[in-house]
Amino acid sequence: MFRNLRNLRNLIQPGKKRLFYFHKSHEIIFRSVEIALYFFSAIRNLALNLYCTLGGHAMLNHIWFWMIALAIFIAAGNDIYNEFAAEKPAVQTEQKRNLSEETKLGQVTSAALKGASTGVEIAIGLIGVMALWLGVMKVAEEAGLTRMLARGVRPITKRLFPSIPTEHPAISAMIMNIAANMLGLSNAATPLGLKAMEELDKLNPNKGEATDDMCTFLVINTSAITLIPATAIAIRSSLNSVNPQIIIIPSILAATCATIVGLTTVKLIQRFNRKKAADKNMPKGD
Amino acid sequence: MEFFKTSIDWLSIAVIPVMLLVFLGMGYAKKVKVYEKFVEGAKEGFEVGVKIIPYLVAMLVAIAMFRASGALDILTVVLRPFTELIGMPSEVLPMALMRPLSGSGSLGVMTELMKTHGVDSLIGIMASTMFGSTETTFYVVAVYFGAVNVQRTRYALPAGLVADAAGLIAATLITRALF
Repeated sequence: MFRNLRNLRNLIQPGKKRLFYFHKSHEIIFRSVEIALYFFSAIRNLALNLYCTLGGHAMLNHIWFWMIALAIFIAAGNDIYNEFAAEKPAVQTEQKRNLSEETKLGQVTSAALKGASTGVEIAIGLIGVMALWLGVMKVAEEAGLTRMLARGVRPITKRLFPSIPTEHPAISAMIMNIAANMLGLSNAATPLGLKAMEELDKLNPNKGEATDDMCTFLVINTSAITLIPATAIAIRSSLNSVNPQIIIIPSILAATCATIVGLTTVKLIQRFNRKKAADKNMPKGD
Repeated sequence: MEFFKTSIDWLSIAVIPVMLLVFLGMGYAKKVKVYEKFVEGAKEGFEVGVKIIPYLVAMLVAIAMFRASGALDILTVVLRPFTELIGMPSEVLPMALMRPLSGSGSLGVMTELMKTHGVDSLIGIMASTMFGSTETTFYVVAVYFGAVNVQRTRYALPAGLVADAAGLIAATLITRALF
């Protein structure tokens, strides 16, 4: 960092005539690249420090709490505003008001209850496909197919998931999940993804905490590249679009950007954590 | 493009039967007791489903409350100046904010946008590209980590959200450039 600063000073100080007399033209390029790198690392450190102050590894606790707390505050604020400050229609009906439907707070309450039961419904609905795919995967494992698949994709997975053994069943489950996502087979993708998480958890030294590989896998998954965004196309054609498929290429491009940025973020955080752990000369933790 | 789509469509119809046939067939050929092993594996399905429930309930309750409170409207107003800088129409911003939170919610927003502004308008294409190019990150985090009882998700959610933001911005810029 100090070297960079000194270079910056050399550029600015006219006494050394650095700014005006470049003996070699490539020095300009070197210097501008160096300055750019300096700013890039400053921004990166700022972002990572921000991440740490925001709760670091326990971040979900904060996000979850503030989503609920903000929802209640904002709903209450809306209601108070509507009750006292907002202009009301001149004609007041004498009808009894249904507060639980009319107010934001009432809506938030019913949304919470409905969300809870939706969670159970989704989980129960998953059981059938889960069972089907876990059964098929078990047969494939016994037949040695998953090992073959894992060996085939080794060049890619070696880079992304360096700590997973080559022929581990986690690899094949992850590859099949990503393939299913690409083809838009969400019914098969989720069970295969959960199978992959289960296998990844077998390699987890401290249970209850996500490993680096889990996070990498999850980011690939959430920015999933889909070759055919089927739902969006179906809705477009139901609304009589001239060309419903026009979104295919833009979607693939945008999802590729998301995947690249996501993977870069994950790898940067992993490197930062490793460096921090090495600095303190103690094992990685919260 | 048409050929690409039909071939992918056929592939996605054929892939599951072919996979079932190949997997079970290979097992059968290698004298694996296919039925018994299938049942053995399938038993875990129920456990996984039940394991996910608390995680999904926690996540979906928070998301449902957040959506019902009108917090997204406030976020829209706050973020509008920034998103206008990159050329995202302010009508599309609710779609971008909803996308990581809720699949059904963003589906509704997308349909509404296409109905009011036209399917083949820039706004319609941008919204459907956003829908097609990103996932509901909060849901995926809850389900995937729930299945293995992981409570401390570390940096998975922020990294996923960064990826989403990149995808949404890319969708805006790409549709702007192309249409």
